Amino acid sequence: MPENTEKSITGNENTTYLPDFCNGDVFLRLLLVVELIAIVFALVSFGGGSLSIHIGLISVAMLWVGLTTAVLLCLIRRQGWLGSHLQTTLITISVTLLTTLLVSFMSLSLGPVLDFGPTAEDVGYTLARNLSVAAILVGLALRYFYLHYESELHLQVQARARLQALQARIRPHFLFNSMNTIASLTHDQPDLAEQAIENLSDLFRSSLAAEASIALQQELELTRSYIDLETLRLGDRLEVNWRLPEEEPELNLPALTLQPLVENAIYHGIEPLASGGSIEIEILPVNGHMEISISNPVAKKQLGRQREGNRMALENIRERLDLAFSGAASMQVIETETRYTVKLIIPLAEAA
Amino acid sequence: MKILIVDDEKPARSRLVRMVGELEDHQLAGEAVNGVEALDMAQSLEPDIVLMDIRMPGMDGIEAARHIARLDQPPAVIFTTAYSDHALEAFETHAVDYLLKPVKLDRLQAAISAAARPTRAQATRSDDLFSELEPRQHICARVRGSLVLVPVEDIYYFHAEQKYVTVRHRGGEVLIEDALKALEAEFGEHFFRVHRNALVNLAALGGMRTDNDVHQITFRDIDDRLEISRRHLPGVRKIIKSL
Repeated sequence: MPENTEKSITGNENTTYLPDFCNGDVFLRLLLVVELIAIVFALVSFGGGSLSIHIGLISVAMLWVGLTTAVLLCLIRRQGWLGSHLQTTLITISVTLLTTLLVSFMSLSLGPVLDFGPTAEDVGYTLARNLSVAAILVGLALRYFYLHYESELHLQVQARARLQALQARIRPHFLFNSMNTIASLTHDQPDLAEQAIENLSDLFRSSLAAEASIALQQELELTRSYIDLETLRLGDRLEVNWRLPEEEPELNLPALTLQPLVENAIYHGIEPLASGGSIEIEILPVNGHMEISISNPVAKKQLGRQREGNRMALENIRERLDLAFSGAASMQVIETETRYTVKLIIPLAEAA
Repeated sequence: MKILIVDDEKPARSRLVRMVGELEDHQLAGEAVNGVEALDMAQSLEPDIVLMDIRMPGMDGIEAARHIARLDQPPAVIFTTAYSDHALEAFETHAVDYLLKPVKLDRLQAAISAAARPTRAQATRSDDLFSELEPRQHICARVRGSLVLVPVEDIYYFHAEQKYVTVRHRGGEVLIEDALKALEAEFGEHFFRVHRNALVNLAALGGMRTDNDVHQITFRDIDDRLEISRRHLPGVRKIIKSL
């Protein structure tokens, strides 16, 4: 079953957005960037004397800060102390400021001996300057790392959604039952057979498409194609009740958000019921939000015969909503004894 | 040959109906939409061959076939499936025929001709047909000549007496010929032994009662008592404690 493959690509152990400084490549690249910044500073602050010595001194100080910080962060990461994003941010900033403070003190105490750099009179100024520079740089770096991480995550989650949709599509039962339906209709009702092929094509096309976000109307159309196909197969066992707002809502959302939910509803809620049941799809604007609910009857649980779970699809939809609406959208699962409802709450103002 | 077609999906049934109509020497006996209906029709219509879908709501095709195999004159069962990886292996080992959907006419013809020979019908009669697959959802008993289905979850206990096993269930009791050992192997996940002659449904368990050194199982919904043997006492105690 496709579940194994799904699991292997979900493995997202990389929960922190900070790059792994234990990795030699990353470490070297960091030192290179630090050195380049050191050269920029040296050039900007050069006020006579030997340029190479000036660059050298600033480089030594900054490389020390960079190197020590990277090593400490690597150790902290190995201890597993980088938990949430907030924790990571706070730890990184503290470690950087601490090493900056340490290196600044060292250079202040070495300065008089080696006869260079600031004198004891401007200790306060030097410390304040160094700490500000370090704070600004670490802030910029963290922002960059975070954006980079987020866009990577975006790509990953999107790719996973498409893969999951495709896997659902080529789930042998769905595929061959659809083919069987078409084979049957080709003879008796060629018009319906033609429609079924068109719908099946739409579904495959959307799971192979590259769009990350589409209009709600398009997603609804795709969902209808899917329902039409299943209606041919399940007959009056499948009843779908739509409750849509009078005005078509202008809303973009991640592609393949609704259709997989309806697919779950049919697979878990309708197919196991001999007499079938009804799926309710409701789209309701509620103060600045759009509420989209999909509900299905709960099939009586049979001893030892459970249909394989659907958590993967739900988790993935939640992730994509989070990314698309920066956390402003949410998903609720409401389970009663008789009905299972998934409700999406999507902000109207922002587009995905 | 009379052929019974079983499938929960209408297009799948109508395609097979049409194909059977194209075969010479064979007629349609009827159409069933799930396992329970198939079992009913297998008795009342007495088909020679059943074309049985595997995945159906309620009772699936494999379980229906296992019950049908216990009829006096069981029809040959040919499974039809869109795809079913683990079941297909079992078919190979039991030399049971199966057809992949969409079914091809010449394959259907060949399977029906093969099933029409008596050896094939006998092959599917075996009592332990697919017994290594999932446990059944129902126990099938013969009451005055007709089959009665008892959902396994409605069973309180199995009690072996000489030749038969009594199945005590929500609606009363029935007798079956299965061996208690086989029942334990099949339903061991939800039933446990309290005595050499008794298997009890965990979900129906009330508690334990001791009178004059005789230990007995009590039930939540009925007043029946079953003796716990000395050998099974420690195990039963453990189970009751863990509830």
